[in-house]
Amino acid sequence: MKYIAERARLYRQIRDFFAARHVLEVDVPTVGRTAALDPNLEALQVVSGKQTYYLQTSPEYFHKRLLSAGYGSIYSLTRAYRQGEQGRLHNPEFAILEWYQVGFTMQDLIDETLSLLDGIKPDLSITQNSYAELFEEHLGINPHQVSTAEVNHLVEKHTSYRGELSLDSALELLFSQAVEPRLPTGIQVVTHYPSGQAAMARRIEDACGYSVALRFEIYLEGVELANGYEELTDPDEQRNRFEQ
Amino acid sequence: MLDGDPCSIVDVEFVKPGKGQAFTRVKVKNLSTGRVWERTFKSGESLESADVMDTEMQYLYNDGEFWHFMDPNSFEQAQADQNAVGDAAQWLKEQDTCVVTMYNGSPLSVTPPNHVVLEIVDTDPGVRGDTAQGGNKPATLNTGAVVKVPLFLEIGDIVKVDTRTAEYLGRAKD
Repeated sequence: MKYIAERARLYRQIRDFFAARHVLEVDVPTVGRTAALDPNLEALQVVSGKQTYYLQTSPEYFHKRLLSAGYGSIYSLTRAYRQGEQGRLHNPEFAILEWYQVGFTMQDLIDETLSLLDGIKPDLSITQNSYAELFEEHLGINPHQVSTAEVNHLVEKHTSYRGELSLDSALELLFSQAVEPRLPTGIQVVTHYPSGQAAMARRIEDACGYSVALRFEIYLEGVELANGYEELTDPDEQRNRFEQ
Repeated sequence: MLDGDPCSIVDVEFVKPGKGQAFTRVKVKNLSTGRVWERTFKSGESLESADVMDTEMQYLYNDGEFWHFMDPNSFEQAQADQNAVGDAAQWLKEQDTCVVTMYNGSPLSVTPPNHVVLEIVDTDPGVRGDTAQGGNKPATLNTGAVVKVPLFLEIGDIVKVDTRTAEYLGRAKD
């Protein structure tokens, strides 16, 4: 009962937060005729009559239609569905809060997310590091420069996976098994992911000339809570990414 | 099957970075060696299944090299070697029902019943009237097992033992 009441309070806080910032709540479909274009996401299917529909893995595509139509800053507090995701921290059906702020930089969005979290759980210590900084600190490598061979060697050393992984899969596994457990208590913001893990984010060249994505994640006590981006708005680049 | 040995899964953890390849981390017990260890796989990876089955079988006898068991339903017999019987050897009493883990049709390991009733064949003499006093002494049972028993017990007494802890549970009538 206590958790149900807390969840209700949480939802109210979220809605108040965005209302105060003039971000419009939108209701988007959770069932669509297509599924997301991510090789690591599998959509659940439903059949109605002769037509197969897909439960949405996130509101992203519907949100982007609204953004393209000029609706401005929007958010949804809704459900998402994913096949094959079940465990201590995963359920095929889960609640997701997704929002877009027109004109925000990645840091603006990070600050806003931290503000939202602060309203819900104040006084947590906050640390912000780049993806590269965390890999340097905990594994002694530069993730933008490391070879596939070297990173696979680290996978063998730090995880119980045996086999060859692609560079990005290896980095992801290492981050989850060797970096996440060592994150400090409180909130940890991780920024500037390698370009290969960029999905639809803007890419820039960092101070050392590496191609990095304007993508961030927020962890609390080692649990991944949020994932955010400064979105790609160049239509040609978007087409390129879709084709990839 | 993992690395050539049949294993059973003891624990499973789903590992999914927010975006990207999902992994499954499993804790497994090697059924041949008993060792528990961990392995991570890509989600969706397939593994070879092991032909392992637990069967209740009756212990018949020991011919010096093999321990013979019989399935009371099919009357089929199986012989387990030293490796498969392991520590269970000291608790096996003829006619007792045990669980025999079969791998590819051969006994891989034997689990004795939780409790067994055995006879003391050797122990130091007890002192009459010692029932109230604490303390115990080692006693050798008819299977060769050595168990600590209360001082008042003598050769010929029948005792009930917990095979998992080698603890004396009480006297028994056979």
